[in-house]
Amino acid sequence: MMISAAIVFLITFAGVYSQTTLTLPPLPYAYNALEPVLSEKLMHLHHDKHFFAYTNKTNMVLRLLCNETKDGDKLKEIGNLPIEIILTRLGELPETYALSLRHNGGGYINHKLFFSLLKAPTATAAENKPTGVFLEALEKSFGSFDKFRELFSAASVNLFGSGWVWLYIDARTKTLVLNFTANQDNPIMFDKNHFVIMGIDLWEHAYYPVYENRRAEYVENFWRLVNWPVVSQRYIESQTKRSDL
Amino acid sequence: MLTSVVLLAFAVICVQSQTELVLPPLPYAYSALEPVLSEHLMRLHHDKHFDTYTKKTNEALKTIMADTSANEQLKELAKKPLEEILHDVLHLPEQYQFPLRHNGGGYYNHKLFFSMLKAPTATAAENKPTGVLLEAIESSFGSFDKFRELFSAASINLFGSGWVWLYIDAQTHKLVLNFTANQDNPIMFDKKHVVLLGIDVWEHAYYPVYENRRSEYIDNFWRIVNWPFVAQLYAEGTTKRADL
Repeated sequence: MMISAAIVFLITFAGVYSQTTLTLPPLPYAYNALEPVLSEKLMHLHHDKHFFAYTNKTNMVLRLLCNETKDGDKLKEIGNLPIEIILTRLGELPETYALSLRHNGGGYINHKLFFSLLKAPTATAAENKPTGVFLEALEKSFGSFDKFRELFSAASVNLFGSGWVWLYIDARTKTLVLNFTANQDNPIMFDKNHFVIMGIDLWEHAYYPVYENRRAEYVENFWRLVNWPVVSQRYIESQTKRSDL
Repeated sequence: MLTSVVLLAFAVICVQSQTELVLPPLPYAYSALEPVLSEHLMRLHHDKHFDTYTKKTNEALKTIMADTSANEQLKELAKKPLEEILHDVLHLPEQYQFPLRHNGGGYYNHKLFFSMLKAPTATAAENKPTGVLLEAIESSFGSFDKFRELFSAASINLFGSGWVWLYIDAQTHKLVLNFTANQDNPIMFDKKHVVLLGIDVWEHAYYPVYENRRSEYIDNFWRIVNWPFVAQLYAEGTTKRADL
């Protein structure tokens, strides 16, 4: 009786606690694993400073949201949802919460995804390519893998200010699309059914320590780092989850 | 004959100077702002970023002049001084607007920014404005320290890339603090805003020295503000206005 009560208490506590306390995921590789494309120093800064700050700030906002007594329990309920869900419902939150979560929660999910999509570089960009159903999907949507890469790169070089370029499955057309967002926005903020396949961080902090102002060089070398098996897996997941395809 | 040569040369210079922005040299040595902003950072910021904005603005203007589908009104605007172009830039169709807004804004902002800086004082506290500018700041913000606190907070809180500005508001004629995203400038929103001070909070403006530590950059920014220059902008901004 005591034990089951204790277990229920722990589950509840852990459940509530884990909903509002995001943890900083460790890099899936050593800090120097992406050398020379992204230096160890850059990875330390990007992960331990920028990603860490987004994590902390999101948690601070979520804590406030979970204690918010305005609107009865509505805001608390939203605050207890997974961050990926909260970010699809920002319109239901008061502006200060919405903006703060858009910025920091967006920063959190974007960086969590980004770091998971990278791996130790190949010697050249050309030799790093996807295969199988995902390659076929890219060819179908863009004509060829090279054309996709050219378009993605052009969008990345041309994005003005801070933001991201994304490849995602569009919620409505169900096709692969390229698009960009400003700051830390993510496609799911615009439609919860967009399925993000991959993205590139184009904030200056993502490349400045190695490439300085030379963003084009960063974008060229980015292709050496893309973890196509992980990206392909995301694509495959997107196809299997959708019962309406 | 000589007259026509002179006229031709004059015409060429006029067309040329309207469309060819020049990269202004820094008003000080690259190392002059050490240790607040390093020589390396100043070289990157001026010789790469500012230089790119200069070149791209010139390209954008040339493209308009050569574009057969661009109307006469647009081509006339493209011949005007950059400042005037920026007054109207937000009204231009997207394809012409973005290159001019982004790069022309970048040119204009950086030209202003670099001229507002000077060799650092040992501490931020000892670098303050005086005279009518100080009075105007105190009148608008309560005290200079309060102004600095508000400007710094706005600078830290600006998300993404942009600038924080102190300017004389076109409508109220009061000193206001505001921010713009990317390379926007207050004059794009009202040509009568008089910009006095701005801080570049794009990451490139501080990363080589401060990395992610933007607040440290802002704390030290106060050591390099050229208050006499800002005071000059204020004096110019308040004397031109017959309606003040």
